[in-house]
Amino acid sequence: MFASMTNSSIPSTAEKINHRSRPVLSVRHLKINLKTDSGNVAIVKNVSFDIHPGQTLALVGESGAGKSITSLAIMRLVGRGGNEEGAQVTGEVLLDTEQGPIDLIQAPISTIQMLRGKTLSMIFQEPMTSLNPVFRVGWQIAEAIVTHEKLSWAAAEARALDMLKLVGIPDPLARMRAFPHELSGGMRQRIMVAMALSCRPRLLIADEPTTALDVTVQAQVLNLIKRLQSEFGLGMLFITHDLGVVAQMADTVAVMYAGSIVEYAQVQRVFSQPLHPYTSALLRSMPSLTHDSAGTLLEPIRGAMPAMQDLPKGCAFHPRCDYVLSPPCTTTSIPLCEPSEHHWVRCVRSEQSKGER
Amino acid sequence: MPLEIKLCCIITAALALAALFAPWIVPFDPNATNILEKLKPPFFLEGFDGVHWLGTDQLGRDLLARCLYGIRVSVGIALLGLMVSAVVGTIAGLAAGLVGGWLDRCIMLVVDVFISVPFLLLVLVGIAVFGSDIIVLILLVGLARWESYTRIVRGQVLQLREMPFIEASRSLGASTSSIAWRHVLPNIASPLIVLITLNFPAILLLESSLSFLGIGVQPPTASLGRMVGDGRDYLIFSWWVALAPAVVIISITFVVQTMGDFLRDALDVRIDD
Amino acid sequence: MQNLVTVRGLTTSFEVSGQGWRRKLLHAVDHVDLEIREGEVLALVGESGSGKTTLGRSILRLVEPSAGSVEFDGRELIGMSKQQLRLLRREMQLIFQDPFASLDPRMTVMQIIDEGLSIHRLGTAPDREKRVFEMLQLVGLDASLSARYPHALSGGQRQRVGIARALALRPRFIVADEAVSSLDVSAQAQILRLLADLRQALGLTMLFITHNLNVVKMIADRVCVMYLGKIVETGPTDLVFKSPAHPYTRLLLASVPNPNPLERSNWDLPNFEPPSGLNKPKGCAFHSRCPYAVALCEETTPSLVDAGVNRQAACFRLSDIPK
Repeated sequence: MFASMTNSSIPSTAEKINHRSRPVLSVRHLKINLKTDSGNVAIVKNVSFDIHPGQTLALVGESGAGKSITSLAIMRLVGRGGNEEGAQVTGEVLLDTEQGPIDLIQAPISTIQMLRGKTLSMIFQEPMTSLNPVFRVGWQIAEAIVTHEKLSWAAAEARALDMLKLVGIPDPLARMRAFPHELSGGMRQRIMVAMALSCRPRLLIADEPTTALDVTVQAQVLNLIKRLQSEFGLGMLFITHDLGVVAQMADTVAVMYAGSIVEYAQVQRVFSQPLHPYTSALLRSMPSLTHDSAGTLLEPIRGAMPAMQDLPKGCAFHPRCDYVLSPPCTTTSIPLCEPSEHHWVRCVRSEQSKGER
Repeated sequence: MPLEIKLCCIITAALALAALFAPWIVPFDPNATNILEKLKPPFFLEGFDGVHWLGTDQLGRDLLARCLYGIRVSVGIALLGLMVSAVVGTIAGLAAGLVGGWLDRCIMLVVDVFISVPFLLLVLVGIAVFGSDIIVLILLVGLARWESYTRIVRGQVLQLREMPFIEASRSLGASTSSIAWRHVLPNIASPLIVLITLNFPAILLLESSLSFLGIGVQPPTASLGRMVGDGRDYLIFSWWVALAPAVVIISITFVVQTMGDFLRDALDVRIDD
Repeated sequence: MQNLVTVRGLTTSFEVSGQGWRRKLLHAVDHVDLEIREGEVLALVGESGSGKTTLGRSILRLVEPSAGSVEFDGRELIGMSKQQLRLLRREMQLIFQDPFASLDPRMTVMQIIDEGLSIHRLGTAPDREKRVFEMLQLVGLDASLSARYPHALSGGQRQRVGIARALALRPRFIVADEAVSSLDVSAQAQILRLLADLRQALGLTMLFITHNLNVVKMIADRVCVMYLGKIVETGPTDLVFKSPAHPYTRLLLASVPNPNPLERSNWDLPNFEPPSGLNKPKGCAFHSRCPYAVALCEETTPSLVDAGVNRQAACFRLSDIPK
């Protein structure tokens, strides 16, 4: 019974991406500077991407690459009015709302607070720290609802109950009155999903939502997220370091390295024809269930990703790259190019660039 | 190091050196009375005689000398008392945390009893029974706040016990005492040092209060608290008799407290690494 | 091939506060039988609550088992005196999961690796120092790192120090408890490679505890699957992964995300929460989530039976489950 499900395929993702529809989120030249003891450090250098309705963009990279802070900047949890002191965020982050596109970087914090939870939601890795331990779970969902919509408390609670049923919580009526610590990790994450989707947002940001979960629970939660995404036509920014999850969840993939996007294409292209040496090295270094263990040794990438204060001159990856060319890789900053349609790469060793972004 | 901390260090060093080299700084015997010279004003007031820079007290004793020697006595008692309480408290905390079980419960019971009894009362009873001998004073003052070390050390030990590197040490074959010495003590050193620094002003004030009340250090020995107590009767016309020692007490307390706070913040950063 | 470690009927229980005032007994390891042959790498696989971590520590007696026997190289560990155990510790070591918390932040790398040698008073101080440098080289760390403190090292480097510390005593048996789970992707691959090389070079026997099935294939000869304190399947890694016998193993393998974007799965898995170890269902621990469960499964606990060459599984329905 379990074996049958791995072979069914779903329609090609290219069909899902209608490039003529307006993107739900459009990020252009996002740059985040942090004030540290050693001066101003750019932790995110130049990030641009689009997310269309119903489409998932996976932001992939190692820890320290800048994925999480990118998502925090989009939510304005860093930057002006945000938590991080001394973080300057520049660039343009356009969220498509009912009132038209709003630039999340420039808008006043009051606008952002109105949008958060309603048009734009986020779920985090650790549900225990994202849920308030002293309030019952049903209460927390209802509270999220009344903050954004003009509903009576009773109506909000009814909607909260519906959400619990929607996310597959068994015995939802009893669970409404449970406290977070009384629930398992998987259930708490489902509650997070319920809270995030309770006001039918257009964009969901998921930052490693299943990394802390057991693999069987992860499968259930990912299944849930996929189902709800297609039901609601949600755009999703999915942050992870697990390439298996990327393969199963993403339509497009953006690979981040040392604060910049180094490859950006549809998921099948990234897996079958990676153009950036880092992407191919990453694919070769990940232990995978489908690799035949006989003879196939892991190829670790030598060295480690540099800290943002100690970036080398030129391409940030060149010290670990097997294809490095002395100029220009070691001297000039490499721009993002589009060697084939809808496939962007920040590397001079891929095919001739056709245009710059 | 911020400017104010540098200043505090300089002041501490200056006071310490002054107290140490007192005999060479002031030619007067702090206990030598001379009724003819009584209640001479200090250098910033009219009537200054050019010899006694901080003036003299009601028995003609040079106040500068008495202050410097007083620092020796008061700070000396406070430091020794501090050591006593730190050592006793730390050992109790280590035993409670590492051995656990009934020993832990016993020690914590004693701690709870100690906290419930007003400490000053204990000290008064102690002095009434054992007298005001300096050794007695050091021991009694040394009982002040011993439980603060115990609780902190025990808390730290309980936390540390769960750390994988302690388990790693056990898996290498280390005994409990080896773990205590190699791993626990170095890791609790920082909070302990901060606690010691922050407790010092309290113990100094305790000694000063006792001496002020007349039950601490006995005359003719100069003690800062005693001097303030003696100066009480002359506050209206010869207020400098109480002022000098009071200023010294306040300065030392303030300076050490500030440095302790700074130390706590500085060391905390490293602890969180 | 000899068995280096033989475990029979091992049970480790903890008292936990259950609902209200009552203290319940949690059988983290529930009557486990296990054999580890000399020179082999056995992977112990399971999700949270499976008992794999407790089993690893129980074998080393870092956690005291409540019942059963553990034989190491013919010697019975349960009941052995503290002194004898201390000596035996030199032959069996543990590599920890958390590279940050498993090193004393106040000790230098040299002191950390030297600790085992100094506890057992092996050689003079210069001898031990030489040995520490040997170990640093063995794990691929530069000798200059010996004077550094853990906070100056990366996660991968710290893990290497932990491995060097474990190997300094020249143990025969290593328990690696989620040794790569807390590491970055790059570091993970590097450490796995290192462990595979070291195992080859030093002829180590390893018990590799992990929840990450992908990693198992890379390093383990045999795999042992645990569920709620019991072993439900054992066998050679290739065979178990290609054709899992026990329904739980099948569920586990089917849940791992397939890194091929052209093969999207529905993940139409039964939506049941794993039961807690405190309220283990009567009979087979897995029956509440098992699509093949029958009445027998709810009544009686299955024991490990043969399921092929060198393979065992604890299930009554083995012959009825379609391949």
